[in-house]
Amino acid sequence: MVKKSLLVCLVIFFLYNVVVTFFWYPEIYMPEHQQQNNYITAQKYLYSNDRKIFEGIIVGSSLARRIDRDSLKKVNIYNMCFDGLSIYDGLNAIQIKGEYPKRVFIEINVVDKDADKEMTNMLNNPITNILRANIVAMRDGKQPMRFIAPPLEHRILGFEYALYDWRHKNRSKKKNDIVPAIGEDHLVSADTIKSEEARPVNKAFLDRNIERYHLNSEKVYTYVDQLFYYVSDLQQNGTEVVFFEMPLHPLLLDTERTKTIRNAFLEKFPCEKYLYLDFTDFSEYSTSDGLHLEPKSALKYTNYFLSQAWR
Amino acid sequence: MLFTDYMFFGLLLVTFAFFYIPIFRKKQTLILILSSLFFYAYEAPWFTFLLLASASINILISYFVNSSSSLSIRKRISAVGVILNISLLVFFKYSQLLSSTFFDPNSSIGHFLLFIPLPIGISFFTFEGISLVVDVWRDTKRGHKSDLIDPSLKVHAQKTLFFISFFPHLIAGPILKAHEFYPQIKQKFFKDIEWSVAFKNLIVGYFLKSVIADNLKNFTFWLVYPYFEHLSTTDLLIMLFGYSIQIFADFAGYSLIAIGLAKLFGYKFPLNFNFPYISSSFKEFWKRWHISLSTFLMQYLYIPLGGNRKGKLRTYLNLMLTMFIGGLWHGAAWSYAVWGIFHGGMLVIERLISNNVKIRLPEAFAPVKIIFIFILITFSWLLFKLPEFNHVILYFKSIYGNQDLANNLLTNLYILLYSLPVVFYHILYLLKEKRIFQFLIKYEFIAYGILLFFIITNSGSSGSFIYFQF
Repeated sequence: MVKKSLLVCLVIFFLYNVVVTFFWYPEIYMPEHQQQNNYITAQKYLYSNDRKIFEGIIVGSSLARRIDRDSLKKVNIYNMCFDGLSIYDGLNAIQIKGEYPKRVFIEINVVDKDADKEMTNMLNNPITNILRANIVAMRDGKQPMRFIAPPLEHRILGFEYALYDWRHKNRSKKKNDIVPAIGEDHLVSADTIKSEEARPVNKAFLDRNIERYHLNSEKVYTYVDQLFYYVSDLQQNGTEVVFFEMPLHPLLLDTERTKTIRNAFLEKFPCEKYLYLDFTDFSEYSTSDGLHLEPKSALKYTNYFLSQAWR
Repeated sequence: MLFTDYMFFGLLLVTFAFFYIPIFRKKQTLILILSSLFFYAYEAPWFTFLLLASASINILISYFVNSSSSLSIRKRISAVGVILNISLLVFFKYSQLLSSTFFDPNSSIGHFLLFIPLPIGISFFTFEGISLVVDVWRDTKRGHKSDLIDPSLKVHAQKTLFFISFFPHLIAGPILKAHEFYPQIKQKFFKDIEWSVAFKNLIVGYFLKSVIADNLKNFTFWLVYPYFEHLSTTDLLIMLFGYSIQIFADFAGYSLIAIGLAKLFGYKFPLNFNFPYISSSFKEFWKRWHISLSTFLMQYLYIPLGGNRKGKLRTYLNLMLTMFIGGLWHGAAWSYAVWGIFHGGMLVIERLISNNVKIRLPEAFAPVKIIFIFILITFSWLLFKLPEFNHVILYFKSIYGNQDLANNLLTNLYILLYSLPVVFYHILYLLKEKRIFQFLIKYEFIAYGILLFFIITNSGSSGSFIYFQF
C-alpha cells in the first residue's frame, strides 16, 4: 500500500509540474492570501529564470507596495515591498540572493518593525530554496487549489452577472467590469478599483492611526541603527541607497512619530552623504485609511517616484 | 520544534537510524529520551529543567507511594504528588490570569506574576504525572504493589522519564495512561514496524495539519477584533465555520502525526479524535473529541467527585465543575472557563431532557441533530478565538448588523474548499458500513497518493499547533 501510494504521488506530481511549468499560465502566480502574495513577491525575485540584475529594487511595507509595479517594470525596478511586513524582509532577500542592483530604494515610514519570522524561515531554508529554484510546482502561487477557487469564483460571478443582467435588463455595465479576468496575478479587480475611488477615507482607521502616530516610538533610533548595517553592506557591494517617504494623510504630518522617524534618518544618514527623494507634499495625495494611498494617488506618486528615482 | 519543521525531520531520521541499529538495541529507551529532550529544548532550553523537575517529582512520588508500607503514608505522599503537579501547572500557566483577576498589576506581586513564562506542553506532562501518581496509589490501595513500578529506582526513573517526555506526545498529547504505555516499553525491532498503519496516520495527520489547518489559518486570521467588524454577515459565518474546521484539523492532525510517529518506534498511542463533528449530542461529542483529556477528566475528577452516584443535583454539579476545570485547562483566560461552563451546561440539559422526555426522534432526524450540535459547538469556538468576552458580543452584533456589506467571495470559496476534505472525511466515516466504502477501500492507495501530493504542493506556511497554547 505504501509503495503504491508513493508511486501515485510521484506520477501526479511529475505531471502537475510539467503542466504548471510549461502549459497552464506559466508566468502567473496566484496568491490565496496576503502572506502568500508576499512569498510570491520574494520568490519571483529569488528564483527568476531570466538572470537579469534589476536596475533598482524598492524595499518597504504595504505603504510602498502601492507603487505601481507595471510602471516600475518598464524601467527595470522591482517592487519588493510586503504587505504587513518590513523593509528588513526585503533587505534579507537581497542579501540571500547575493545579486546587488544599482540602486535600492528604502521606505522610511515603517522602519521600526522586525523581519517576519515566517518570511525569514522561508528565505533561509536551504532545502526548500533548492527545491523551489528547480521545481516550479513547489513555489507559492502554484498550489493546486488555485486551479479550483479562482475559476469557480469566475463562474459564480459570471452567473451573478447573468442574473443581474436578466433582472435589470441593463447592458450598460460591461461584463469585464464585474468579472475579473482569470490569470491576473493581482488581487484587485477593475470594479474594486473604481469603487475604491468613490470611498471616503475610513474614519475609524484614520482616527486609530492618528492616535498611534501621536505616540513617540523610542525604538525608531534602535531600528535605524540596525538599518545602518544593511545599508553599509549594500554600499560595499556597489549599490546606491536612496531613502524615500511615502505620503500619508496630512493630519499625520506633524505627529511625533513622523517627526521622530525623519529626525532619526537625517541624523544617522545625513543628506550630505546619502540620497533622499524629496519629501512630498502630503496634501496632494489621498489615502484610504490615513496610511495607504488610494489607487489614483498611488499612480500619481508612482510618476513622481519615477521622475525622482534616477535624479 | 514543530512536526512540520525540516529540523524535526532531520532529528526523526537520526533518531530512527540509531534506534534500530542492533548495537544500540539495549539503549533504545535512552535514545528516545535524549531525542525527546533535544526536541523540547530546541525552542526553549531552560524549560527542559522544568520538564526534568516535573518528571523527577513524579518518579520519586510514585516510587515511594509504591514502596511505603503504611496506607496513610501512601495516601499523603500521593496527595503531595498531586498537589505539586497542580501547583506547577497553576504557577506557570495561570499566574497571569491570577495577577489580572486578583492583584493590581502595578503591585510587586501582580507585576511578578505577569512575567512568569508559559512552558510548552506543561498542561500535558503535569496531567500525565498526576495520572501516574493516582494510578499507583489506586493500585496500592488494594494492598499490593503496583506493576507499574520497577523495584529498581533507576529503571523506574528511566521508564517514567520516557513516558512523560516521549516526543510524539510531549507537547500536545494525547495524554497517555501509564497502564497502557509501560507494558509497551521493551526492545523493538525494525521488522516489526507496522509501516502501513504508521504511513496512513502520518499522511492523514500531515494533510489535516499542513494542508487544511495551516491554509485555513490565513483566512481565519481576520476573525479578530477589530478586523471582523468590517466583514459581512456571510463572511463572518463562513470564517467561523472555517475556524471550527481548522481547530479540528490542527489538533486531530497533530494527534494522528503523534500516533504515526510512535508507531515508527513500535509504540501504540490511543486514538484521540474519533470524527467528533458527526456527534448528535454533546455527550457523544466528548466521547469523540480529545478523548484522552475527557477520559482523564472522567477518571480523575468526575468520578472521584462522585460522578452520577450521588443523586441528580450532585451529578449536574459534578458535570459543571468538571467541564469548568476542563475549559480552564485549555487556556488561562476566563473565556475558556465560560466555554467549559457552556459545554457543562449543554451536558446537563441533555441529561435533563433524556431523564424527563421520553420521545424518540426518528432516524431521519439524525442529520438535523448532527448539524444542530455542530452549529452550537462552532459558535462556542468563538470563545477560543476571542478571549475577551466583549469581543465575542461584538462578533454576534457584527453578524446581525453587517448584512448589507459586500461578501468576499474568493476568500469564502477558499475556506469552503479547504474545509471540504474534513466534511468528506466525516461523511466517509458515516458510510463505513456501506458497500461503497468497502469498494473504495480497495483503491485507498490512490487517495493516500493524492493526499501526499497535496502535502508536498499545497501546504500552508508552518504555524504553531493551536493546542500548543494549552
